[in-house]
Amino acid sequence: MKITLEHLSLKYGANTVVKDLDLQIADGESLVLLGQSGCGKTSTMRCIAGLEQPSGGRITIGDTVVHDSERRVTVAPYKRNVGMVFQSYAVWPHRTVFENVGFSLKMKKVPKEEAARRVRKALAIVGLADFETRGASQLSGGQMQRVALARSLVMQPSVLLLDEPLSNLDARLRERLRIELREIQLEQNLTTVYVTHDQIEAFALADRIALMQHGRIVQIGTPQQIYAAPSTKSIADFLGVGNIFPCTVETAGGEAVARLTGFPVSMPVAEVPEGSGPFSLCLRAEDLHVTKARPGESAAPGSWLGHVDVASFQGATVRYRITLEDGPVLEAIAMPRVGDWLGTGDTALVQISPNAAQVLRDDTASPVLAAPAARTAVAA
Amino acid sequence: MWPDMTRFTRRTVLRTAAVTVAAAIAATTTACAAPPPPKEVVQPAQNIETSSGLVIDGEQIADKELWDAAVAEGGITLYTGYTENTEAALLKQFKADTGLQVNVVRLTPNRLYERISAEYGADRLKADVVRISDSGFVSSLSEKGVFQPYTPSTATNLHEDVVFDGGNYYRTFDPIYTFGYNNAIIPADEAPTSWSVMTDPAMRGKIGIAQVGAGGSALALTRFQRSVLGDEFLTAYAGNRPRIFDSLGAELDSLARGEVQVGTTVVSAVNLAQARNAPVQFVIPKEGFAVYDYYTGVASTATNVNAAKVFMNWNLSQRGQNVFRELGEYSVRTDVEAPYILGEQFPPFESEQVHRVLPAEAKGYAKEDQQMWNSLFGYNE
Amino acid sequence: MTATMTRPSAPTPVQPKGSPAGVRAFKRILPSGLQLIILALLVLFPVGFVLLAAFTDTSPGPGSLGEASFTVSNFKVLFTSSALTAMLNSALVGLGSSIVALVIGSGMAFLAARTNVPGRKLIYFFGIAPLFLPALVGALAWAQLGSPASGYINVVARAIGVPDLINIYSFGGLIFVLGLYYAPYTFLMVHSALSLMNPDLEDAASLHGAPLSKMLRVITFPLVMPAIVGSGILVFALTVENFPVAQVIGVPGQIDTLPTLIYRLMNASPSRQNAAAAIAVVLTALLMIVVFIQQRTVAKKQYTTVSGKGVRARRVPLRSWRWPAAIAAWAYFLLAVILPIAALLITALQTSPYLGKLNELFEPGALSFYSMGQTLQDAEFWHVLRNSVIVGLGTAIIGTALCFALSYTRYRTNAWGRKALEYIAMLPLAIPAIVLGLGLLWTWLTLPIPVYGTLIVLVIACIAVFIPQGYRGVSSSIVQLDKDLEDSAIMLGARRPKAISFVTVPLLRVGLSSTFLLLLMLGMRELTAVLFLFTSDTRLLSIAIFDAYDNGSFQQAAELSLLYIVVIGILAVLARRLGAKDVA
Repeated sequence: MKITLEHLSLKYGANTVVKDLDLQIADGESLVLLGQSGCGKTSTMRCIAGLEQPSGGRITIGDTVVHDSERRVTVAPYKRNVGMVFQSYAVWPHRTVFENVGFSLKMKKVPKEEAARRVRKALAIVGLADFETRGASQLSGGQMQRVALARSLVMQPSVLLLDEPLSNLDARLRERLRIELREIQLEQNLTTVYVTHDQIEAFALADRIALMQHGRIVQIGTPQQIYAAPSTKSIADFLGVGNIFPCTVETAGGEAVARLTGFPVSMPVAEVPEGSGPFSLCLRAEDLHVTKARPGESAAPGSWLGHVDVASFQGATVRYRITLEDGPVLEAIAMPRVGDWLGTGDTALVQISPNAAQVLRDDTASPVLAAPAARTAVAA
Repeated sequence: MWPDMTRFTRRTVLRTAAVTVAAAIAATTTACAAPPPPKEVVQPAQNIETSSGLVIDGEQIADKELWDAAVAEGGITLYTGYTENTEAALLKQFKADTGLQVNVVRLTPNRLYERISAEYGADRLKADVVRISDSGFVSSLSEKGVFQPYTPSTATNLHEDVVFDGGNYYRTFDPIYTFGYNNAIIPADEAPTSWSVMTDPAMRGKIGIAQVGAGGSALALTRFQRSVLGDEFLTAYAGNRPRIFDSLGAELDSLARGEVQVGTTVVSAVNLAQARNAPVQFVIPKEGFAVYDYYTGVASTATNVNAAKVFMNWNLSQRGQNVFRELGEYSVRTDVEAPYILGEQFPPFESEQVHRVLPAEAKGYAKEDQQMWNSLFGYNE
Repeated sequence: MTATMTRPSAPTPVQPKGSPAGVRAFKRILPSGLQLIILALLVLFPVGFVLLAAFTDTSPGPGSLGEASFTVSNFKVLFTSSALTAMLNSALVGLGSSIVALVIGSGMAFLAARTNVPGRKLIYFFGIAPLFLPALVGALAWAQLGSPASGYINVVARAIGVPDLINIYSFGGLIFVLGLYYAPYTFLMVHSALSLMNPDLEDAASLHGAPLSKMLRVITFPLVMPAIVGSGILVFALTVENFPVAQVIGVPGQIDTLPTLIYRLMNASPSRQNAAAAIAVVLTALLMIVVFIQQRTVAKKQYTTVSGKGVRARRVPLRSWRWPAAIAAWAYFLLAVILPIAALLITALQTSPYLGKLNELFEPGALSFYSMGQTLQDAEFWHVLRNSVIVGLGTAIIGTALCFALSYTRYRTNAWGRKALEYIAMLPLAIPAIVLGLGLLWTWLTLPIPVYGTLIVLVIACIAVFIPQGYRGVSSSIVQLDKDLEDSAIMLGARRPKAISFVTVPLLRVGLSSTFLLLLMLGMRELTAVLFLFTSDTRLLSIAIFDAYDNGSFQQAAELSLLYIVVIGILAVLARRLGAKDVA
């Protein structure tokens, strides 16, 4: 079912954690609320669940208004048919897996046989078919997560909410479950809202990502859109998009040149955001080509000489940290099979793909503008 | 040499303790040589007839109608301020004589007064009969309406000054307040005979007195001491470092254990204590002693009215009054003699040695006496 | 993973109705409001009545509120010589006994936690064992042991030619007995500080070259200081407000303390309730100041870190002090537990209540179980025991439920006024039990609810006194329980009460049951708070013992005491099994 949040606000005492938030989530869409801790993403999700009382705004799930501050209407959480997987899983240790998963059916007074059938189906979906009688306290982290998921799936929720679902798992399990979660979501065609602070998780799970800062959505779009065009420096920083330096921009005759502040490095840029700055320049690590400099070679315009501080082999890629002769420190990524592979101390020649440098608005001094209201994107 | 202490865990020690106690309990419930029972202080009734009412030793306590109704009721609830042991000894006789049950609510007179006032005020007084000392208390209760008037058929041959407020309550007996000594420490031939022992420097720190706030009894004693023995006596008494007790019961126990050698006591209490081999004896001092009034009346809230009436009848009958006498109290009947206790014959009630404060006087002196006593003995000042 | 859950078809649009603002506000306030009312009845009303009695000239009772007129003349009693002496005595006794308790408790704690004294585990047991003896019983036993003419110790001493050895009815005796029975409090606090101390701290010191004695002096001792000071202040507060020991040991020696003075004023004829209230107010104010200081001291300096590593602490080798130390610990156990129980046994078994010479004990027929057997068969005894059990169970059941509701409201809801709930719930800690007892008497005499004179009012009194302990016990468990566990049940369709009963209560089982047992034990032990509330037919075991003592029948008091110890001991063991932390 689709979800609509209109002018949603939430206050804790004097502290406003969600500020006038608007969001529409399409039926069957997977939306990720991404942001640092304290940005309000979990609070927003808990408002949808009904575990928090918004101080203003309206929430609609499907065609039902589940909360309207103005008309003082609220539907209790246990009536919203919203499934939620908590960060801590909240699997009940004093009950068996079967009792955990079957709880919602017990609440709906579903007859025993049908309930058993549905529980088994849900367990099969999450891959825990043989775990019915196991005590919930005897499960591993990943198994608990799946039980929590099955528990919510079995009640055929209109909407599924997941709060940092993978953060408590080790790296390998996380990667595997990331894919599994996405598979289940697509198969069941469930409207899902995730909350996470991990951008990689967000990219993997989302149809669309809503980036939140300080209680507002600052950018919303598909993962590709957001990665390709972060709207501000802080977003780019958060996503780990690339090397970011403060810069100034000079436009001369239709051509714009970005000049790094404090370093004699400049390069042409294709687009400049509106306004007068301040600006930052973003150079993606994957857009920087690093080759071994021939001795005595000097840098042509658009390339720079530098010195490799660290070359970090990472299996499929190599990550270089290079200090340019002109001063700035860059990180670049290369595939070791293609081209030369440099070692620590080597002299490098760094080039950037044409028009790959991106100028971003630097919002450090003036954070938080609401995302442009017109972004009511349709699910990809 | 030393066993491994870790094995002596708390569990082991507790288990051992539990076993010991269990064994002890088992032993107590199996037959053990019962020690010789305490001596009986009161003679049981010789002859009880219930065919036409209650007749004891030839005296009619209740007529048939009253008796049958009382038996049907089964018993009474008695609110009393009387000393616990003495009341119990009395009630034992009453129960043996009548077969009626008595449910006792016992508190010291001043707390009893507070409680009855509170309960009566809240309309929850469950008493059938009330027994209390101190004329101020009892007249106050009568004014509040706690009693109902009743004239027992046995209320004959009474002294003056027994019936109050039109039969609301009756002076029922007068306990004797004197002093006693520990006869294991002080041999009988050296026994004191006069109140002056309290001011004897040789007895410094070995004497006792109960505090004046303990009840009407103490006020009566103080009145006696002030008027007969004089304030100088009291001052010297206070100066002789007496140990001050909160209650007569505590004082008697201390006396019996030899913690004090001489102390103020009530005769009936000493009587019962001696029956349990306590080494205490009372003295009939040559200057005399105090007696104080105990009053009984049927409560206006009585539900077992007939049994209550039988109780009143019994209390004022010859039989009942003789029980009081044998316990060691003065009777209010003219045809019952003065007590004869433990080889001592008490003088008749009218004798000069017997000092009773009239209720009217008592009210007048109470506050002043109390203040004076408190300041003398440095108590509750 | 091919099964697809069937999706529910779009439901018919439901526009839920809004409820009027007033009803919603009422519903928000209702749960905490109700609890506030209950707490007010339990705690605030009694305090209020004590204040009322202190500042008016009529004793509180039905109908007296109309006649009362404001006055401060009751406070004149504070300046009488008896009140001034009582205050001085209270201060001296409190100071003396807390020093004694500190020395004993810290010494034993140090031995048990950090030395190589033989039998360390046993010494730990010695440190806490006296908690199984209610202070009243300990005092009674020591009265039997040390009373000037007929105390057993004196009787034995006389037999070997040493007359007048000790008189327990003295300052020294009072301080001794109080110190003896409050030492376990300091023991527990100091012991836990010593054993939870992070050994890294000491390791660092010795790595840098400090010898053992220096390390102890410079590192260990200062780190344990907050626990020592905190427990010392706590014991001071507890001994100043103690009633049973002061009454049994102090009063016969003409030593009045503030609680015994209050008791005497209440029992005076006519009863001087307003004066008693004035003294109660002063005593409470003093206690509140002390408790406040104690909280500040403990809160400011958290030196010891409770890390999971605090196990392998360094053992101090005692060398030539090993055996003397062990003997000293045994001596404490002897004085605190063995001698008193032995004295109670002898008193209970004596056929004649009065003992003049030692050899009387060894005459045939001098000791017999007969009297105990009689007591055990006495209907009144079973009545009293039944009362105690009912009051204990009532306190435990209702108290645990109430504390659960309070904790839940405080830590799991956004209810209005929940911080006030916690504050009022902890208030009885700063109110002396005897003052609370006074206030409860006047509250339930005056209120038109007819509970005075029944067991119900005794349950109310016990709950009022022990809410802080119960609340603390349940709170520490609730706080550790993840809120999500309950919320997840809500999301799965359960209403809040169902979620609580399905998830929270079972998971709190251990915390709740240990609180239950703690309240059961405390409820069965209490004397002071119920002192003014009981009547002849609602006596408890503790009161029966006190009554027997008051009437001079030491034998019955001893018999009942022994039974009392057995019952409390069983409950205490059960409580420890289930992990109760605050046996105090």
